[in-house]
Amino acid sequence: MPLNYASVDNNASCYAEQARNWLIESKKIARQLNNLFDEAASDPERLRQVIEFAQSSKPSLYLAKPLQENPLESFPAPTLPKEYTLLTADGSQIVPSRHRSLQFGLINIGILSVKFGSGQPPEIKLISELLDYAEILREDGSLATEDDIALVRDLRERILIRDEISPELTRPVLTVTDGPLDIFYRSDIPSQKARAAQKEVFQLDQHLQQVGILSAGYIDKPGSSMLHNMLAIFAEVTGNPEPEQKKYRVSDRILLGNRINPGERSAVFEIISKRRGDPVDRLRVAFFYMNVSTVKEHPWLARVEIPYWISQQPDLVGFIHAALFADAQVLDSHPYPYSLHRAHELAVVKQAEYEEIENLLLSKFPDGSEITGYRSNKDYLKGLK
Amino acid sequence: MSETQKSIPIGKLLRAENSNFVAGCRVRELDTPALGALVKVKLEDQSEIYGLITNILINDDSLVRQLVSGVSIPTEYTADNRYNRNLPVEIHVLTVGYAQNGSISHRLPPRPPLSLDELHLCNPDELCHFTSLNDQSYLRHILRLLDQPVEELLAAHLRQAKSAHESADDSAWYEQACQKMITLLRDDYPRLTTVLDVLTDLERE
Repeated sequence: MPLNYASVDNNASCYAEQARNWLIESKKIARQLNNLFDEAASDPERLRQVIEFAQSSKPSLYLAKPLQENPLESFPAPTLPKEYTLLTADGSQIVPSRHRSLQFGLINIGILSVKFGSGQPPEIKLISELLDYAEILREDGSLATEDDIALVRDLRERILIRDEISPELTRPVLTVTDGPLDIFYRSDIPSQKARAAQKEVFQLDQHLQQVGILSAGYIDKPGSSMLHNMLAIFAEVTGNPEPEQKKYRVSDRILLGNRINPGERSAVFEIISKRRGDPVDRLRVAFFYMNVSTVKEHPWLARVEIPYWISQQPDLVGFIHAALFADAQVLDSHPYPYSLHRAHELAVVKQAEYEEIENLLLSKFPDGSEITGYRSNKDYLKGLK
Repeated sequence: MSETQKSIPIGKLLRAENSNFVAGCRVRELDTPALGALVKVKLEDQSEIYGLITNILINDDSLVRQLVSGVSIPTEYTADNRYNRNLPVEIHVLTVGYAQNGSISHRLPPRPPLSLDELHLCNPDELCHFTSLNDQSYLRHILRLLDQPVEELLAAHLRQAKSAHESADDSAWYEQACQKMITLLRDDYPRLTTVLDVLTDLERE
């Protein structure tokens, strides 16, 4: 029996009750935060000043800062140009495992280039890169972790997208990746390595800006509470009572869900992310939320991250909003950008492919080689059917 | 054989048994194969297996089903699903004979073709040659099909073969083929009536 269902069932009712209570409490706090949001948004300039004060006085922050638009306003998507290019990339990876006969790492990246208005099928590319042996080892000699390989994958996605850009592409060109635009600051990665990656992302964006290429990161079902954090700082500085229970972080999705009509976007905010040791030349990121649902009663918010320089040009923000909304509507029963889904479909590495690559690599060594060794007994037994 | 008379590759074998086989092809290659067409697979030992296309199947998957229910699909994404995604069109073939050591038989081959063997569309010369042999006995294979529109398949095949034979100044072939069908179906009056209906339709074209 794979699970002791009787035992789980005994606790299921209790769990459901706890979840219901959590929801009730979260909704109570969301109501308080909504009132606070109304008050804060009534004077956007004051709200900005409060955030700027926090930026100069707090050692670490992760919150939203309103930019030019009223924080509670929402905006419909403008009309799309007849011709434009959408360039998306998504990747997957094989993480080295000490349990296997051979330790190796691989990243697999799918790229889709769609020239809207051409009537032609998108150009697709699949790039599979076996990592150098040095890349699968950390400086202390231990094997690279899931986070290490994911960082390499994220960076390669951006570099490969840059390499796809050519003067022949129909302008405007929007490049899209799944997830945050800045390389996610993974806690497991040594800070020096993370800083170097962030710097590289910054330089890549500078290049894109120079050649006039737009970029965006798409986050489906986002869980961040940047607006809650913003309102908490507002309450703290202005002497408003802040909702007390720190355990109940209300996601931005909950706060904005009923404030953005289907197809519309929120105001643009800047991400204020501050940690000790952050590099100076780090990508400055802004974002907006977009309701990709077409049913008012069931909002579905996605976060779209854009470089700060784009946030300063409303027509570019409008184009990104319209292009991503239209792409998400292709799969309208579960709205998510079609082009990103296809890039993922191209890139995903299945277990059978993992084993084929492993066998290919093993064939490069003579029988009994000291390098290849054996699978761990644990791994062998797990494979028994 | 001139350049235009060469048989055209239209797909590769997915699975096979002695009496029938299935090949896969891309949508781009779909403009050549047609219901009732004579096709062949060349085996490694140089023998050839002949068959008639009995069905062409357009497969789907969960993404296509998702797209079908969508409000609008950009032309570029329709093309993506047709030409880029790995969904082969399945060509179902009824085995009707084989060639070995230079001679053609209308019996089933000793072995089926193997997966990834190449499927070719026979050119008009090959079609005329194969369908003229052995008193057109290959037609009996069509009548053993179950749960398929046999009469429609027959009509599609006879129309292509008739046209090829007439182009080769052989107008007697079609009459012989009709006679053969009548002989094969002499004990199945209801079916014979349907087949004769189809043949009448064909002659009116």
